[in-house]
Amino acid sequence: MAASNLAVKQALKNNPAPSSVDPQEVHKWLQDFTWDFKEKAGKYPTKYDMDVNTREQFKLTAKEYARMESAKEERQFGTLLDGLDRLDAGNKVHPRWGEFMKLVANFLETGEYGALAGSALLWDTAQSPEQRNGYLAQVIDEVRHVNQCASVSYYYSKHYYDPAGFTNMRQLRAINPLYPGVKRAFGEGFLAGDAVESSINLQLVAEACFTNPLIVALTEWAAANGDEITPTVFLSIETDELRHMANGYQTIVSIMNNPDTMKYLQTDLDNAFWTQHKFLTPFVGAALEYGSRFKVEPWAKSWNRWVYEDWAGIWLGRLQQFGLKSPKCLADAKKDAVWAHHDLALLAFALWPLTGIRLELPDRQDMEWFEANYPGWYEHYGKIYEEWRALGFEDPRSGFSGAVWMLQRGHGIFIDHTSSLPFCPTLGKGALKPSFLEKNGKRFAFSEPHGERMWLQEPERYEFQNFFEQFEGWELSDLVKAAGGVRSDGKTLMAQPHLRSTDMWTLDDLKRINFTVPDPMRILNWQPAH
Amino acid sequence: MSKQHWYHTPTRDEWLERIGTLRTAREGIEMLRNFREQHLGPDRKTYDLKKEANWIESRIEMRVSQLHAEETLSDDDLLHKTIDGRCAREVANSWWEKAAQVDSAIELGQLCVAYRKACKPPMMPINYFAPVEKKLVSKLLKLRAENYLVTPIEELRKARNVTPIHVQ
Ligand SMILES: [Fe+2]
Ligand SMILES: [Fe+2]
Repeated sequence: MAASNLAVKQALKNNPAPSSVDPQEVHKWLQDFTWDFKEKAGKYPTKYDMDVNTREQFKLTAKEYARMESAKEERQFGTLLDGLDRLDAGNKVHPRWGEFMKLVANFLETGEYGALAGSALLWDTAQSPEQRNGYLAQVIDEVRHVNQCASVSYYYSKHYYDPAGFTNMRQLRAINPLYPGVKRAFGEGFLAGDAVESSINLQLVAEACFTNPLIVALTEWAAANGDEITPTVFLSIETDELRHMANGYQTIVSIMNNPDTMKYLQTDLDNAFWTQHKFLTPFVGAALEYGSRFKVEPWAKSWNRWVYEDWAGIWLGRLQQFGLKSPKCLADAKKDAVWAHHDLALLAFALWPLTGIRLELPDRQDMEWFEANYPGWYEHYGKIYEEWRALGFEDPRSGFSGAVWMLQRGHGIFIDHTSSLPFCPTLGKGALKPSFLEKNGKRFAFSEPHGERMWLQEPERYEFQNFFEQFEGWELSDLVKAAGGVRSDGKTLMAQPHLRSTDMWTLDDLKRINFTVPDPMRILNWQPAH
Repeated sequence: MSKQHWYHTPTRDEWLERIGTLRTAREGIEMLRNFREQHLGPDRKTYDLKKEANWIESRIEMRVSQLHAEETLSDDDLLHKTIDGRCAREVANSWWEKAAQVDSAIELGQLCVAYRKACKPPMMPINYFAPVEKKLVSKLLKLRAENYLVTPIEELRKARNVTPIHVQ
C-alpha cells in the first residue's frame, strides 16, 4: 500500500467521518447565525412579534437539505425522461384530463411562485435563526416546485397530442376568467399584507389544508385517467409539504408568547381560510370531475375528509390549546364543497372561448355519475347542458354561446370583487348571498358577505379591475385574438368546445356569435321585468 | 380589427401628451398631487379612468423623477430630502407622530392613504418612505384586526360611504 493511502487511513481512524448528524449540534450551529435583528428590522408590516427563541423541527442545514432534494430531482426527471418516454405516457392520457392539466399545471406554477415569495417574506420577518433556516429550506423547495410545474407543461407540450395551451397558457391571463382568482388566492394571499397572515394563507391553510386534496387526490384522478406524468411530479412536490406545514405550525408557536396575539389570530385564520377556499374548492372540484372520463371519489367527499375532518378537526384541534377556533365561514365552505364546482363548471362552459382549453360537455355516462353523487344535479345543470348541445354548442357553424344563452334568459354573470371570480346569482347553487354596492359612481359585486366584509375592512387591498371593466365594448373574436388565444395558423382557436380534431372553431366562427362584452353592472337585474 | 388596442388607448395617449408638456419638477409635482387626489386610492374622487389610473400615475412619476434628478445636483439631496427640499427624516417622522395619536381604524386608514399620496416616491426617497409606511400599516392592521369579524356590515358600509343597490 502506498504511503499516502496509509496516511489517509490512519487519519480517518483518528478522526472518523461522522456517519450521522446530531440534531442538538445542528441546533447550536444554526443559533450561531447571529444576524443583527435589532438593527435590521424586517421590511414587511405585521401585527405580531415573532419570538427570537423559536425552534424548528427539522434540524438540517440548507446544504444538507439541498442534497436530499437533488436525489428527489434525479428520480423524478429520470422517470419522466427515460421511463415515461419509452411508455409513450404523453399519449396515454385521456384528452379530457390532458386539457384540464393545461390549467392545473399553470395555476399551480403561479401558486408555487407565490409560495416562493411568501416563504422569503417570512424569512425576512422571523427573528429566530433556526426558524429562518426552516423558511429558507422552503424557499429552496418552492424554487424547485416552480420548475417542476413548468416541466409538467413542458413535458406535455412535447408529448401530448395537442400542445396548444401547454406552450403558452399564461398568455391568456388577461382574459381567462380564472386567472384573477389565482392571483388573489396564491398571489396576494401568499405574499401581501401581514407577514404572519401570509404564513397562515400559505402554510396553515393552502399547504396544511388544501395540498392534500389538491395534490394527493388529484394524482389519483390523474392516474385513473391515464396520466402518469402528473403523479410523478406532484407526489415529489408533496413530499416537501410536510416541512412547509411544520413551518406554518412553527409560525403560530413563535407568536404565541405574546398576549396580544390572540386579538388578531382568529381574524387572520378566518380570512385566510375563506380566501383559499374561494378559489381552491370550486377549481379543484371542477378540474377533477369535469376534466375526467373515469371518476374516482366525488369531490364533496374528499373535501369533507381532508378539509373538514382532517384539517378543521384534527389539525386545528392541535391549535385549540392556543385558543384558536375553526373558522366561522366553515359551514358556508361546506355547502360550497358540494355545489361551487358545478357552478364554476357551468360558467367555464358558458365562457369556453376565454379558457384556452378544450372542454367537453358531460355526456350520458357523466350525467348518471353526477346525479348519483349529487342528487338534484341533473334537474339543475344536466338539463342546461342537454339544451346547449341540441342548440349547437359544439358546432362551429351554429353561432351558439352559452354566455349569450344565459344573458338572454336573465342570468347575469358578475365578478366578485374580493375573490375576483365570476358567479351567476340566479343559477348558482353554492353558498351565494350576493350584494351590490355603489361608491363614487362605481359599482361593486360580491357573491357572499365574507368577501364583502373583507373589502369593506380593507378597501385599498382590492383595487382589481375585472374582466368586464377592462373589456367592455370589445367584440369577442377581436378580444380572443388580441389576447393570444389562437393557434399557430393564426385563426383556429386554442380553446374548443369539444375534443375532436375536426370541426375546430376559428375566429370567424366566434364572430358569428356576434357578442360584444357588456358591463353587467350597468344592468344588475338581468331578470325580465314582470 | 377593433379600434381598441391592447396597449394603447385614447385615454393613455391623451395623458402622455399632457405629461410631455411638463418642463419643471415643480409643475410635475403639482400634476402628480392632483392626479393622486382625483384618481387613486379608496378615497379617490372619481373612478372615471378605470384601469388606466395606475398606468398614468406611473408615467407621471417617471417624468417627475427625471425632471427632479436633472434639477438636483447633489446625491445627498436626492437621498435625504423630499422632492420639495424638506428633510425627509423629519417629514416621515411627523406622519408617524400624527399616527401615534390615532386609535380609530377608519381614521388611521385615511392617514395611511394620505401619507401614501403625499410621500410615495418620487415625493420622498424610498429609504425614508418605506420604513415609516411599514410602521403605519402595522398599526393599522392591529386596529383593524380586533373587530374585523364582528363589526356589523351595515356599520362598515356607512363608514365606507357605500350604498347598497337592491336588485329585486
Ligand atoms: Fe410548493
Ligand atoms: Fe409548499
